[in-house]
Amino acid sequence: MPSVKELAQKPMPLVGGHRACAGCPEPIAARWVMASSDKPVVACLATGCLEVTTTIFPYTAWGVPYIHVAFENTAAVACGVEAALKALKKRGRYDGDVNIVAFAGDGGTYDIGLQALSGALERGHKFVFVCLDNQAYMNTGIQRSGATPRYAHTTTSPAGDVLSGKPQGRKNIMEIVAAHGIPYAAQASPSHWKDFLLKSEKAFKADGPAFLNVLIACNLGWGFEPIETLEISRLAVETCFWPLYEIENGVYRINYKPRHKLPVEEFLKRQRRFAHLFRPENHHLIEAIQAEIDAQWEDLLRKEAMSASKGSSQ
Amino acid sequence: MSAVAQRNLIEIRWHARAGQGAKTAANILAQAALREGKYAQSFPEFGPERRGAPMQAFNRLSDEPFYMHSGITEPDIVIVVDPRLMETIPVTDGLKPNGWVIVNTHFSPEEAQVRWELKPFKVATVDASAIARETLKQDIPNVPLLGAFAKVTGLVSLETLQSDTVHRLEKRFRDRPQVIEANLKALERGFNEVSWVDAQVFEPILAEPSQIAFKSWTELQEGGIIPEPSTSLLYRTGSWRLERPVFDPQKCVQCLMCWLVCPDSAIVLESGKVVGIDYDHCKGCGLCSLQCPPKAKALTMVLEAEFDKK
Repeated sequence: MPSVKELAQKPMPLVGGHRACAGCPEPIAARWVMASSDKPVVACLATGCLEVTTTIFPYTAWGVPYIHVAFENTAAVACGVEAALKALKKRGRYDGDVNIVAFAGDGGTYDIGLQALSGALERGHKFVFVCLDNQAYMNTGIQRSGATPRYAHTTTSPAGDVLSGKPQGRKNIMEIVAAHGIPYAAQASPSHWKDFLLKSEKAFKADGPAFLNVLIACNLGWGFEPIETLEISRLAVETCFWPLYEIENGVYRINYKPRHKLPVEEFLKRQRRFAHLFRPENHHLIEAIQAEIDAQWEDLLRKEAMSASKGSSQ
Repeated sequence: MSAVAQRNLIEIRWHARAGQGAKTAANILAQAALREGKYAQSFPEFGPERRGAPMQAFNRLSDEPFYMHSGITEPDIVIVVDPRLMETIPVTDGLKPNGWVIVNTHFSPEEAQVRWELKPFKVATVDASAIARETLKQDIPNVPLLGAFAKVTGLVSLETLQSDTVHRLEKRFRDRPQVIEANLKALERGFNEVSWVDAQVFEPILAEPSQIAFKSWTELQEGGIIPEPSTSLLYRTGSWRLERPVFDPQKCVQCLMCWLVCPDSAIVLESGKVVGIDYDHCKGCGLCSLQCPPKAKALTMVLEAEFDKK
């Protein structure tokens, strides 16, 4: 992994003047991913916050070639770019070597972009798909998505007298993606930059499609102050709400195990989207979330132990 | 007698940052006017930008029915929720001569007229942010500004605004009556503390041409391609800032953590070393100051208002 000093020598793949909210970690994550590439990068974007805020015509914040087509087909566009470069090489019209990276939000990954992503993973194109998971449709005004966690308030799952936020849990996108048998899938958070950069580097080196699921703490949609962004992301990891792990050729590895797993309450209480859970009558909902997270964490530990023995017997 | 003569259709334009409550304030104003038997409209206009970005909200108030639904380009009254917007945005664009500019600022109306070149207009000022901080415990200047609006224009009465505010907040804060109480206090103080001055110059002003020259569609590249990279550097997001990171090179240990986490790539490096901050693009999120090692503390956040005073 290059050191931060080495990264600082590289040209900036994404510059300022974009119009993301103050403190938004999306530009940070996009920069880190692209900076980890050893080759020039081509970026493909889904409709979403990152796309909208960085490319307000006639401006662009991208220092690398960039393409946006539609919400649902980011992965297909990335495959098209890969195929086009191959075709150009075959005809001798291009002899460079680039990495292709696709950025999509959770809407463009878990929901609207899922079939294009699945197709691209199945066909085995070499590209890195980065899901910037802020856990709702933040770009259009905080509507629930397949990535919204249980009991989170959104504008389409409002907390009130009838509902206590979204009744359903999150899709396990990591399992969905890993079930395609791709060489590399990992979950990362901007609060742990070394882990993040290592995973990005691994993703680019993978022999085939790679997937990164990145936690994006949204100060607007989650309800906290911009300066708290990285702290909240860190709490997500420390409470095992957002475990840092990777699945490399079927082998699970948890990259960070908190020494003292914090109660999920510590993560929830800092965000207004969970404020209704802290009314006395809703205390059991926090317990339910804790139970769910504990079960998922146990499950992950089990998978790691199992795949470790599988890995050694081979 | 109110300071605005009754006219059939009054058009109002709010200039604020997304998240400051201008949309809500415009809404409250329209509802209050409706309740007083007027015809009214309120609607916001957002770009694809985010919290902190400049936005506008509009009101039309009339004694008779009207059928216009467009954005307002020639307002009678302009309300400026964040005075720092006036550094980058021509808020008085299209404002009718002798129209009103109501500004949230600690400056007096006379000072404001000079400072922001508002002499052709009637100017009212109220330190709505200070009132909001004292009553609501946070900087939400929209409520005191509504109070000031009622006093200056007489287009709605304070009583109607008060009962509307109660009505609006009643359900949401049913277990916290002190929030409603604080809002009413903020409204009343805005009403009582606003002061104003007449226009000083009576020449029509010509609108300055827009800063960005948009090309016509025949000049655009196919597919809307932007051929040059990184052109967003021409767009300044520095005025979004409420707090400014101040860099002390003596204390810096050159760990580059601030550079790593800055979402706006606003930490300036020279031959691999941090030398300062790009205030044209820094939005003041404060992540850099939090990443700066506590032992070094080379970056501290200072309220932008401190620099305005100097």
